[in-house]
Amino acid sequence: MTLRAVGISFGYGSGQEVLRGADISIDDGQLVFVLGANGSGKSTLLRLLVGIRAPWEGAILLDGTPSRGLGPRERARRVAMVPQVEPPGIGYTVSELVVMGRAAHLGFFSRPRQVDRQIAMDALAAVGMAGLASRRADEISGGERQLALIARGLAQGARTLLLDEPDAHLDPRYQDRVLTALTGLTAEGLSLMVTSHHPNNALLYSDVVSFLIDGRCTVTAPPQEAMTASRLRAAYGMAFDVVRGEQDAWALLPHRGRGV
Amino acid sequence: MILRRSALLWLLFLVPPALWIGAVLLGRYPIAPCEALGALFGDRSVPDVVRSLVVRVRVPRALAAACVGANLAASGTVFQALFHNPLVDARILGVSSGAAFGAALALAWSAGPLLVQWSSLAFALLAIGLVVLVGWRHGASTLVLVVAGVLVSALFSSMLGFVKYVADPADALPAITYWLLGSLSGVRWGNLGPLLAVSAVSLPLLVVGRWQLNLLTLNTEEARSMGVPIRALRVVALLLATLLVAVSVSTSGIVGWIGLIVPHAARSLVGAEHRRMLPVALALGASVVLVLDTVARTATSAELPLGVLTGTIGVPGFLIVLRSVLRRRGEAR
Repeated sequence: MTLRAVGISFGYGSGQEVLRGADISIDDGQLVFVLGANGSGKSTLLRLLVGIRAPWEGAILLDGTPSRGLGPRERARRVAMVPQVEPPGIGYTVSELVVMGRAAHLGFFSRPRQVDRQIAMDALAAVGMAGLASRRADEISGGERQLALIARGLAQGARTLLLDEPDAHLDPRYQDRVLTALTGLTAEGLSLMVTSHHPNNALLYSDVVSFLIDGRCTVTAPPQEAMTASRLRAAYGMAFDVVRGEQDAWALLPHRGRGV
Repeated sequence: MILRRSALLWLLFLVPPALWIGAVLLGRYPIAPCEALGALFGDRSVPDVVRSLVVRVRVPRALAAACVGANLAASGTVFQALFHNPLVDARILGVSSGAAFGAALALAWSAGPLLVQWSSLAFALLAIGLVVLVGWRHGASTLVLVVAGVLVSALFSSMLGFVKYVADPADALPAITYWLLGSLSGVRWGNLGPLLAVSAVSLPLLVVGRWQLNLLTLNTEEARSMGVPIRALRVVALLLATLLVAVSVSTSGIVGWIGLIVPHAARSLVGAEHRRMLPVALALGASVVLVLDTVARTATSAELPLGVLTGTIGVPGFLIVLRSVLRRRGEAR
């Protein structure tokens, strides 16, 4: 399945446009990283792609047909959003949290059946979380909670997942665990879009990188080509060294004190 | 989660019926248990005065106690899910303030008990109507609902203050004060109608749709992205919960703390998931109010206000809840 944004513009209230004719697409088996400064419109882009906001101009296409034509439930079965980890409120267990992803498949007065619980368990297994299914979601680590939310998106039945900064607030090991889980999903043909403030993670894990600058997705190319010092400067307004290690292992080093 | 075993869980649902029978058997007027049971099951040999007392006074009162307890627990559960906050109950949306003002207004005019009840119900519904009206226009976000609830609550509290200020201190003011303390002493079959009718419709609806209560705890964007019609869900849950509170408060006066404490107790017994938790909360709520109301009418020769009892038991209960919440968040040892 291909999810595509064509020339979308959007702003909040009557304020300035956040997105100005942005184009981007996610294809089967791709992990797309969207990088950009704070306030550049990354989360907004995800909201438009998942369909909880409508673009002022342009269209969101699911396999070529406008996603506006689908109802919210039908859309939710195809595209899922994985929110940033929040402080948990009421203490559900991990499996109870994940099975909520089945809401788009259930009627107003029905409840999850055995088949739904099985789908939730399979989703947890797919991100390596089967062992924590009966733990309380507010007693596991932030990284594990992020994986649980990814599993909820999978339980939704969606083949396209949009993740809002899944590598935020995590230590390097959990960043790796989450992002490796994502590359595992793309290997099975799922399409994923990830927003991030970690350009090095884009280099390590992504198939395609896009910089969101001035309301447009300016570059969509494989990471080794997309990551140039000038593009990083344009995106973040500061200087980076692009370091080439042995073979393709690049690294991006921000210059200290140049973030002014 | 103490009650993981479902056998224990099923036993819990036998407690309210048992307590209900106990409430019918006990009272200030000494009636032998076998006589009371005889009256209950229509035994002709039981004296008329006993039958009348059991059938016309104790039975409706015990029914009201069970309904009020279950309703307050159900509404507390819904409100805590809706506002993602374990420390709220129906008071947050001004329903109680509206009901209190309506009752006080009628009492100040020396209206009869039935008019007091209907006035209270009408103003409770008016209060929630105002909140929903404001909230719906602004997307039914929980923040807007809370703000609207606080405003409506403040409005009716002020007006209640005014009514108390101008009420006749000889008879109307004590009547208002007594009503605000909460009691089921006035319950008869004749004024039980709204409570029974609304409970019989709203409670089963909530129980059947209780899995959806879990979805109320999602935030707006999250829910919409998951294909959940969150605005409709919120408004339906809100209306059911406030109807339950409105009929309860208009029948019993202000009975605080049940809606706050009982959902918590249920959660600590079976976990937060509403499919397990809501029925447990209903059983606990009904049980607690049945016990407290029986104490209220039997402990002393004069009737104790029910709201005073729930308060004295509720505050220590609240401290335990607060402690456990803070401990979860790592803010207290």
